[in-house]
Amino acid sequence: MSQRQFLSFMLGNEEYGVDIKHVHEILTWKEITAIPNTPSYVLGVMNLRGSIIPIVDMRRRFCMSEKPADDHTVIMVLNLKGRDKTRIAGLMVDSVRDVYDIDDEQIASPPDFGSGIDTDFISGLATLRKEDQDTENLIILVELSQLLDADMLSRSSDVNANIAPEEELDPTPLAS
Amino acid sequence: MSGEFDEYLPEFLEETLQGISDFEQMVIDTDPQAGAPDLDLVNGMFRIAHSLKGNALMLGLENIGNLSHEMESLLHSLRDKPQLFDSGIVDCLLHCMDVLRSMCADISQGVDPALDQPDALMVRDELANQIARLEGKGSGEGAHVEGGGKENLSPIKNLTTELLLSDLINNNEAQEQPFWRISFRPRENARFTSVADPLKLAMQMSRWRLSSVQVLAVDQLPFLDQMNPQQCYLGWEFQIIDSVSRSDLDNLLIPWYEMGEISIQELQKSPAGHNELSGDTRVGDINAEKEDTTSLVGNKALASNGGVADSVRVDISKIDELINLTGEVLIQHSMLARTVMNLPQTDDVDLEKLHEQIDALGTQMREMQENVMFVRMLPVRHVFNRLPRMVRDLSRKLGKKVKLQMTGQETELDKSVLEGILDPLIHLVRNAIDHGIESPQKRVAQGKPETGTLAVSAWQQGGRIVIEVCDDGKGIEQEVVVQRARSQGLLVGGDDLDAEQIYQFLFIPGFSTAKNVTDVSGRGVGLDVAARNIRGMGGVIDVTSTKGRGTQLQLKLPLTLAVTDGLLVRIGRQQFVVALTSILESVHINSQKIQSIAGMGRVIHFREAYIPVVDLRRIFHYHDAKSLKLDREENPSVPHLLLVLEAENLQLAIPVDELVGQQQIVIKNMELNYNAIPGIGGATILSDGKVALILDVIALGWLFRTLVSHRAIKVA
Amino acid sequence: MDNNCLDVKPVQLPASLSASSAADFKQLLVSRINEKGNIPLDGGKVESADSCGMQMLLCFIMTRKYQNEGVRWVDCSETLYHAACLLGMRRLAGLADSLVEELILGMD
Repeated sequence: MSQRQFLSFMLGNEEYGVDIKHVHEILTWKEITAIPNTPSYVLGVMNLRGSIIPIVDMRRRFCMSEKPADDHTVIMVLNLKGRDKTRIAGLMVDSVRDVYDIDDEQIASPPDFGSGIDTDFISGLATLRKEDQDTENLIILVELSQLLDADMLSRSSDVNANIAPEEELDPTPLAS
Repeated sequence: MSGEFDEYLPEFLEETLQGISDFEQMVIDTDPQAGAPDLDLVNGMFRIAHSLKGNALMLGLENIGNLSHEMESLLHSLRDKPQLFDSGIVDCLLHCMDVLRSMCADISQGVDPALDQPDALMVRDELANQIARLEGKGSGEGAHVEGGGKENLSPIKNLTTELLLSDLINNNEAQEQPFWRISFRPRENARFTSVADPLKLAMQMSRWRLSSVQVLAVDQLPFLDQMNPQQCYLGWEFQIIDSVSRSDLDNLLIPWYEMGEISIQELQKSPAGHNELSGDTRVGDINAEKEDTTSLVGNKALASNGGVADSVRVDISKIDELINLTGEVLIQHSMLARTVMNLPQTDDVDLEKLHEQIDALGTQMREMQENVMFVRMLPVRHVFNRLPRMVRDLSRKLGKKVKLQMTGQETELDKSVLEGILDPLIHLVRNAIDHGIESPQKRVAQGKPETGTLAVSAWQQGGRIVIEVCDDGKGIEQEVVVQRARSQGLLVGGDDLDAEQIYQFLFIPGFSTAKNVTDVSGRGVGLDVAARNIRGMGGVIDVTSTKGRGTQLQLKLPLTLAVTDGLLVRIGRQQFVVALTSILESVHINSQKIQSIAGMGRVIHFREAYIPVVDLRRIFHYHDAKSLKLDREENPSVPHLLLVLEAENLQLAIPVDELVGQQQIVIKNMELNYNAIPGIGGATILSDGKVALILDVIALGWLFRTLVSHRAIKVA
Repeated sequence: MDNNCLDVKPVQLPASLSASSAADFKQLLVSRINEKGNIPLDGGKVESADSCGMQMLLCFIMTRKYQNEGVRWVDCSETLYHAACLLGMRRLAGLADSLVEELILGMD
């Protein structure tokens, strides 16, 4: 029986967990430079002590309502070991919650959500009972290694790769 | 895998990989078609295998050790019967090299290479077959030890015995005179350290062929119950056969000066050439002043010929760290300069002097950065040495005959530029063999020699490195390219394009003129990636070709990683950087002067030509900024600010809102943590710590042209 | 006066002759240092060695020599042999050619 440690974060009322060994560090929100022609959930890039890392808005990624950044908003910097390469990326979340030790036994396989959340990322559901409470906590465990893989990005229907339809080209001949 | 020897692994891997490279070159040089190979080559290969085996076993790497052992057996048999060296054996040996390389890769990832993995099993079978074949053909002598009488000893055990008898270290076959004598005597209370371990030293030196090793000061050993295991009581004397350079020796011996007394004696005059050892993989050279090296090697007497180290072996990560730090220092300086610039003038502060000093500091820092960058220069050889094997394999696979000529291998360039050209170079070479050089029959029919020539060279020109790939194949057929471009919707008309512009089509993603797309060069995917990689480093690719005669591709790269000057511009709320070298001019143009041409989009008249206006707001979909509105009702005399850019024969004009200022840019690769973005050639960090994207002018030009011509087809 | 090799238990050299296991190795050697005659040494299981371990081995052999005693190799791994060669200890350790030849041919 093996146990892993998970760091949990909040998006709205839902609590998600990532394997702590992927977590690099946690930052408060900083200025982000937008990049053109990427899905809207890729907010842009940020300077992390000299490294350029991309920032993903996890609310947008999971198709939730947007929320303006506040004092609790954090950026979780993770090591993502994708199919093509290993990246360092920052995930913008509402807040970071807690660290849990979860046994494999406590993890149930995910049902088909059918909502906006891409089930590619959900690796399981864990139900934890807190000692001093009667209620149980549901933690949605996510495996985000492929979050920024090129093929994953292009699959997302969010990308507007065509030129925005705009005023037509003026067909008048060259003025001399 | 034993953790105790981990610190030896990087050295082991480096030496092993070099050995594999050398081995491969020797194998290829044997050329079975030309008859029995030179015995020197066979001996050389044997020596490498033997050395590899020993080193691997010593580090507990049984898998590599066992495989080398079997290779050794094969080569040993061949020493007696070199005439049996055929292409089957060549293939087998090259196969072994592949497996060894992959095992090394495993080790560097911290994984123990399994000897039962399919590739390894297959190659061991091959080896066993070849050995059996050789045994069968032999007269039965040589493989068995005399006086033993036990015939059922397996061939491998027999071999071991013979080796022990011949003892490569103390009995050098050719009776060559040693070149260097190096002796070490420990000082009092010297302790073994991981850095100065005599066994490791001997292992390193065995690469240069030891004619003898003697242990000294054995009388200094205390009785067993009184000795301290961690203390080094013994000394050693090594005699080296190869004429390595004094500086290589010094490099190796630096940690030893602390341990005791070192004496280096040159026993022969050095040959007319000089310091370059062909198998050397020096990772960095620092030219130290003579006075300073005494502090490097410590206060122990340099009991030698008074030689001074003129190069130092440095761990590459230290250099990278140093380069990062200088980059950050430069950014800090920028920030400092900015802060000072915004200071108000007061009486008790001499602002002018402050400005002057900051400027001077800036100049010195840039110089420092340049110097540090130069430390990372490595010879092109490291990349070129992959080519012989590749050319051989590929030409055989495609049924072509190709002769590879390489020149200028000692030309140096920055390590990261070097790493960046490996893939592009491979693609270009693949392309030349696949699409350039014709089959032997076709060549003969054209009066060309049956074997095509592929010449790869490197040299320095001005402030750049040029790497040229030149073939004498069929050249690029311009009509085919143009036709293809038209059919892919990339070109409308274009009868007036010159050769260079036509060739640039070859570098567009997905473009391929091969009639049957072969899997070898990957559907023309290689060229566009190659071009993008080269451009990402601040370089260009030039193409020249003559139909029927051949093609010449030149990669022109900056000597050091691009630290260039750029101009920071603002478009809407976004800031971008453009390399100064791409900027022709900035112009103010009234909207009435911006015209539309059907099929080309908007253009301006600039210096006798019409150049396209590329509105980044549209291409990059910035909905927060208003696009360049060219409403006919708009005041025609409202000026727009346009930046005219040029790269490689392509010109375009970009409307911007503001020219913010000049900026020193250190190009950071976007693809490291993200992906490539069309039109963007990297990012840089501004003096305020924010990230700015760098525009890739050429990519923008193509992006725009593609989009517009697609439109044009629809609009018709 | 020879020792029948079946009588005396050989000194079994450990798989790792290195600095980290030096203390244990020394203890093993010290415990057998005073045995009479040519003590059998079994180095067949040695998989890794460094200078520290090899120095200790040599020290053992030289100490015995001083006491007018000897060693007799009953087995030797390639690793051990290779290390001894590289450190120039082969002859002193008694691993010189003819003896080893005997070793290898004598084993099955």
